[in-house]
Amino acid sequence: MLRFFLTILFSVTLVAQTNPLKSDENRKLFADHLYCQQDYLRAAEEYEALSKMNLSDTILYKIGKSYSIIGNTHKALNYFSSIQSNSSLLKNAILESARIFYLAEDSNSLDKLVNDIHPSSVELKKLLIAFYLKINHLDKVNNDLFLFDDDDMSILKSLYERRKNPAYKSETVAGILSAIIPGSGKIYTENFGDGITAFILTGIFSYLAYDNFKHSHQFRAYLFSGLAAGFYLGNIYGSVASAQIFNAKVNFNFLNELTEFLSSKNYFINEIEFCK
Amino acid sequence: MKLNFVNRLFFFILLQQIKILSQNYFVEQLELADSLFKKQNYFDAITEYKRLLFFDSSDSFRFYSNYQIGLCYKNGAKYSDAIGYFVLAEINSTNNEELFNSKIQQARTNILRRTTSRAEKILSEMENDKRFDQYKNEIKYWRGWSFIFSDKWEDAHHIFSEIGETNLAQICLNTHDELYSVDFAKYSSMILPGLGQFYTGEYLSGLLSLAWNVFAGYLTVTAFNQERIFDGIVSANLLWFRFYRGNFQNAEKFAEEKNIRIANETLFYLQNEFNGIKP
Repeated sequence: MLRFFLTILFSVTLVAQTNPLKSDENRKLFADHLYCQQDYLRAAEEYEALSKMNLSDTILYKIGKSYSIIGNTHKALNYFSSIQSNSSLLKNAILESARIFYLAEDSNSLDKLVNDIHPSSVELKKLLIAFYLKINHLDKVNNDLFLFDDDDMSILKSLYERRKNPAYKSETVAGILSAIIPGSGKIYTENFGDGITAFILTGIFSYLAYDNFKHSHQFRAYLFSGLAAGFYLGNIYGSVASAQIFNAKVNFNFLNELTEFLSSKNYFINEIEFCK
Repeated sequence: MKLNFVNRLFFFILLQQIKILSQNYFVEQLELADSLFKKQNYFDAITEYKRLLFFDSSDSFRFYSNYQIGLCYKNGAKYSDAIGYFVLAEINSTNNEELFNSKIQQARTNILRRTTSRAEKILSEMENDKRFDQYKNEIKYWRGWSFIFSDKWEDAHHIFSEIGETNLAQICLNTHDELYSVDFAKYSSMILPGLGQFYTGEYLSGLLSLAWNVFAGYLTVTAFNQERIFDGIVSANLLWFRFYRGNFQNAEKFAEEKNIRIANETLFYLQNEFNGIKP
């Protein structure tokens, strides 16, 4: 009889339990699996569903990292800032926050993080220099920032020099050159094909206008004069625009190079491999 | 210590209960996932199906979970992810029906994704597979849809007629009849500038093309007649040939644009008004 009642009691206890798949331990296992599958949003939600006492610094970091990857920077920053000051993940959390500020072009937050809160961090200093180069605030880049003579600093110094003295073309010079010799302004801005075409077309229509005036064919003469004038003015306008496009390309290539450099260095963050 | 019969019975019942209850947790999990799917809460449904997959070490729910995840992704228009999970469902299928369902969903999702060559490859494989002989009409049905999404309206009409889908066959035939011939538009403009534009209903553009070509041709011909060879060559190259080329390129473009509009109207109708099974 006693065993009968024990069996019934045990069965009732088992039935009354919640689904063990949703226990903290199993949730964490599942969340780790989702994180390694790069299903970051689900991983973050699973980690957040853990009870507060099971939210270790590693889990807080992983939640922050997940939100950072999917672009929810506000939540990412919240989780990175909640990591304990004695945690081994603190340095990475700070650098991840700096990366978010860099990408959001949040100058004030990045300045505060680097200069006020962590003034001795070399990685943060490098990121700050890169940021000033990106937004072209070269007045804020001084020699104090170029602390160490490592490879990264050498590259940053050369990028700084290029940003300070960019290889721009003058729009005024391009316009004046094309006004004197049609097409020369475009050749000055390294647009050789267009320059030669503009020269030939303006030349041909001008000659046709002159030739028809000379032979008193008024209608054709005025027609070709109009075409020649149109091509001449268009050539000047096109040369100025060509110089603007050239300069925009110089800027674009510089920013691309800067981004590639930072991406290759992973924004100076030493990535932690959670999924081995 | 020897166990008497009652003790043995006690432990046996206990072990069975533990086994049943752990299986019940998976069934409970499956029911939760299915209810989320029915409510069209696809994101959470995927999470619960993935949870079931992760913890189900016996692989009992592998086919069904992967298949359902595929359907969730498909309904959320994440076609590449959907195809990935349908492939996993195919790998874990245990009978011909499951295999057929996972393959046909791959074909349907490829149709939606407009990778119709891939869809046709899958459908051809299935047509040649003896295990799916009973599904021949269904395979042809999806091949017809693949033709629709590849703008092969006449082929779609033939295949729907073959399997008795008269409504779809008529829709495809009507669309095919409305379409303009791009080649005719282009070549007719080569023979008479502006004719292609007239054919596609762009009368103003056709008149302008004709006028520019006549004017440039007049300048060129009079220049050559008066032995002003250089004038004639320049007029011919810089005016006449440019307008002539622009004319038939324009006609071709108009025909293509009109055809895209006609096809989109039919696709819009099929998406919103057609009551049959769609990809």
